[in-house]
Amino acid sequence: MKGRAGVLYTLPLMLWSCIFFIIPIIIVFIYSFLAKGLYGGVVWQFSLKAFSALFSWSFFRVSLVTLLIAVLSTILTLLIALPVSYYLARTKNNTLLLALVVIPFWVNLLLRVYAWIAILGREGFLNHLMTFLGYRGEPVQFLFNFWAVVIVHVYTYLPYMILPLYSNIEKFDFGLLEAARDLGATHMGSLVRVMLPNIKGGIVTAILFAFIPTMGSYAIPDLVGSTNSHMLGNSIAYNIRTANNWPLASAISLVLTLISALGIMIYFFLNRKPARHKVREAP
Amino acid sequence: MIKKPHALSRRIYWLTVVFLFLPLAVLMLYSFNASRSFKFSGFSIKWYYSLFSRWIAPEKIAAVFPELGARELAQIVERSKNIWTAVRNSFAIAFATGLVSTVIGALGAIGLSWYRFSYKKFLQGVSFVPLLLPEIITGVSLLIFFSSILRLKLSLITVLIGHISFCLPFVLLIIIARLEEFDYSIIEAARDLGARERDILFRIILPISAPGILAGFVGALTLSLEDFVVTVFVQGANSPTLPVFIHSLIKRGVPPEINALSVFLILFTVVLILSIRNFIKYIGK
Amino acid sequence: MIIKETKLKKSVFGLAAALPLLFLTSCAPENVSEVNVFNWSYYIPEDVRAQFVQETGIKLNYEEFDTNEAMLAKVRTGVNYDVCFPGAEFVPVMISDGFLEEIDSAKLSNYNSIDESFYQKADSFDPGNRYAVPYNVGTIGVVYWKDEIPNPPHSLSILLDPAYKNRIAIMDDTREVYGAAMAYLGFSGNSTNTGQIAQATRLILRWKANALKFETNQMATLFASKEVLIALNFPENILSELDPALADNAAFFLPREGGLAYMDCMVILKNGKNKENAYAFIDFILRPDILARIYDAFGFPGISSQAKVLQTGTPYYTASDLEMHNIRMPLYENNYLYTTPWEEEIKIGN
Repeated sequence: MKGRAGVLYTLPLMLWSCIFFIIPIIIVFIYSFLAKGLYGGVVWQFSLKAFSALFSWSFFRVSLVTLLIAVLSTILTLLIALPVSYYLARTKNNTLLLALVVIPFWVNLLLRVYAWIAILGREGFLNHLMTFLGYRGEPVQFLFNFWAVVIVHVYTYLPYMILPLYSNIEKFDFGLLEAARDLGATHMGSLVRVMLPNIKGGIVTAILFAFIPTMGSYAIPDLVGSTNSHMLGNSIAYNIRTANNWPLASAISLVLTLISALGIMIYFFLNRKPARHKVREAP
Repeated sequence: MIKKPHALSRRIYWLTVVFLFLPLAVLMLYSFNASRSFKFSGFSIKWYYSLFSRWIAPEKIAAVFPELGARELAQIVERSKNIWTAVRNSFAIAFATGLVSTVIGALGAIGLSWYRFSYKKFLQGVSFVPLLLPEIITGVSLLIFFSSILRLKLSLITVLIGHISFCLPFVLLIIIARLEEFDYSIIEAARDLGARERDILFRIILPISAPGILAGFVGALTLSLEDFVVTVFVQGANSPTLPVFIHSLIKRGVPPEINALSVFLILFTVVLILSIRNFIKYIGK
Repeated sequence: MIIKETKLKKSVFGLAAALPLLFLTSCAPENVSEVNVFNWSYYIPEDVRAQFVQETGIKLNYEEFDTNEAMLAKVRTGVNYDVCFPGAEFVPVMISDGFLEEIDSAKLSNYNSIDESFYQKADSFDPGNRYAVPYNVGTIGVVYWKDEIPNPPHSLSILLDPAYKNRIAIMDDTREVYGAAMAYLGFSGNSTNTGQIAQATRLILRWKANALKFETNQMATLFASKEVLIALNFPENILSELDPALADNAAFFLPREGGLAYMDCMVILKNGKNKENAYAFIDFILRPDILARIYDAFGFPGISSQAKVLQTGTPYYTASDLEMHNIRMPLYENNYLYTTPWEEEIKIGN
């Protein structure tokens, strides 16, 4: 009986996941092994052409640049998010402080990117400010390069990292820090050696929350990047929306999925929970 | 050092808030800019007039923009109509997404947390994996699925399906987290006392998981309003959501009305967050 | 117990399913007379569109694309448009894929406002002019800032000038960019010689190394804010966007090496639901006074003598400037000779 109630509760979810997640992913997998139609579309015959296109220096470079952007911006985001969430967790009555972190995240991403263009542009806010402060050279081109892409990613995924970190640090027993200091540890030393290992789970979750979407990013490098900050997401979008090369888009999507799967595996490896955290099974 | 143990982290926090709000401040500033360019050339609220021009008498608009001809004024009204259509599309999709994904997600969360059934392990895996895949994969796979297998015409319906698909795992995660805090023995006790399954659902499970469900709904609403990547792949003709509409404007430089609109959206957000907080507190009592 | 639960679930799901539908139907427009047009950006000025709506009372849903490939991708995914503006080389593809409806020229009172010579040219890719009405002929070239580059060489060699490293943007379009590169090397952009195409690919990669980015969407804003000083692009896309105060400082040249001209057509799509309105739209566009306004708005020389006499603006280039250009032709099964290196060698790394 109970078994059936469980099925009833989860049937819609199961159906939705199968129809709109598993089947489409399988189709992408199949499509990556098909041949491209003359002017787009696919021809239903087996072909490894899409994958052979991936064995090239330029594709390797895009993968590398994507990985580099994702890793760099994740590290930078983490370095900012850690102290911020620590401060949030140690402050009483932090509703307002939390809201300040969340509110920007509610303004449309594209608008925020556009605002960054207005700030960093050759005729933008920052260059005007520098002129105002006495800078007399050529305006600086802050936009359309690798670092612009990294900065906007850091900006975008900061809240994604702060929230899981905060909820993890909040549960941490800060008494342990004092105990460590009583035993002679410095302030920083106690944070690094006592707190960090205890919030490992939160850190790994936070890293995934920033790393995964950055790996698949597409609008940000399109808007503030240049020829040397092109990412896998741009290649996928280009092949779907412009080149009509669905097999190639599918193959690149598979590569991206595999890289993400690698991330997920590392996640589960680092996050092996002790028994008490297991999802409660109904008796 | 000992006196103010969080001095460093506090400084970093406030610098981060400045960093996070800088673009919003710039948007606000330019919404009051008298000219269209990035140079600030005087304070003006005329972009607010043009944002709402579809509901304002034409004479009034003409008075605010004395330098413009009839054709340009008509274009302002047309743009105002397009903006608000996109806003309406976005909110309609967001509410529908919130509703459907909350219902499916809440039921699924209850089943996954408290019941045993044959495909449980499989479902746990399948329903959380999308969370760990880049969104663009969802977009591409759904597009290929819709247009090559289902031969569905791309429209707001396909956008809705796409949004529900990427929101579901988040909703599920939020509600399960809430249910995990809850002591299962209450349900056992109720059952031992002879409560029927329906009563258990309505009198026990739903009331205690209400804050989680609400949080899930708000989460789905947010994700849906924000989404560009999935939408851009599965959208049809002539029914842009706000992010897609804004992206199409970037080509010519975003018109200042959009800056004015974003100021309203920020205010809306603040009000919504505050009221939801109070509502959750109220339910919690 | 289970039965009751099922009932409960049914009602819950009924509700859940009905609500979004309610939302969506409340958004759907009432049954008005409308026409869905899919056109290049910078091809019909807003006021002309407004006039169409005013005169005919037909609601115009107007959507834009930036490359032929993107247009076809969208049509292929099943979006229903009534009228579309493909480039010449995409017309045969759309015919053979069964997307196009035959055009009854008797239903178009202004059919003859386009010069006969262009119908003859169109005959080569649309035998008997059964599916397409020619709309315009044009090309890409170099847009630049006069104050920054007072004496540009009227040649594509400017794209390799190290003085402008990272200050150049190149249009993101396969055949247009190859057309320019092939002409620079002295070949035809319609060539199917693999050796020539390979040379052009190497040249484009060198351009790319000197350029800031390949761009379509932000081209006008990139140029207007002087992020780039040089743009290899359609001139109208940039110059018609500039502030009039700035426009005097911007200039355009066609490279002396020549290039490839595009020829765009109007077609009616089979999938569209508003055939009569599609004819009304095309006929409106073909009116000489309307054509003249369109050509003037974007500085086109135009392909209609009837419109020519009504045109008042100075085009960015003249019809005789285009003499050196070949019309871009469909390559059919050889199309991959260009798209494969473009996608796999040039574009994959942007």
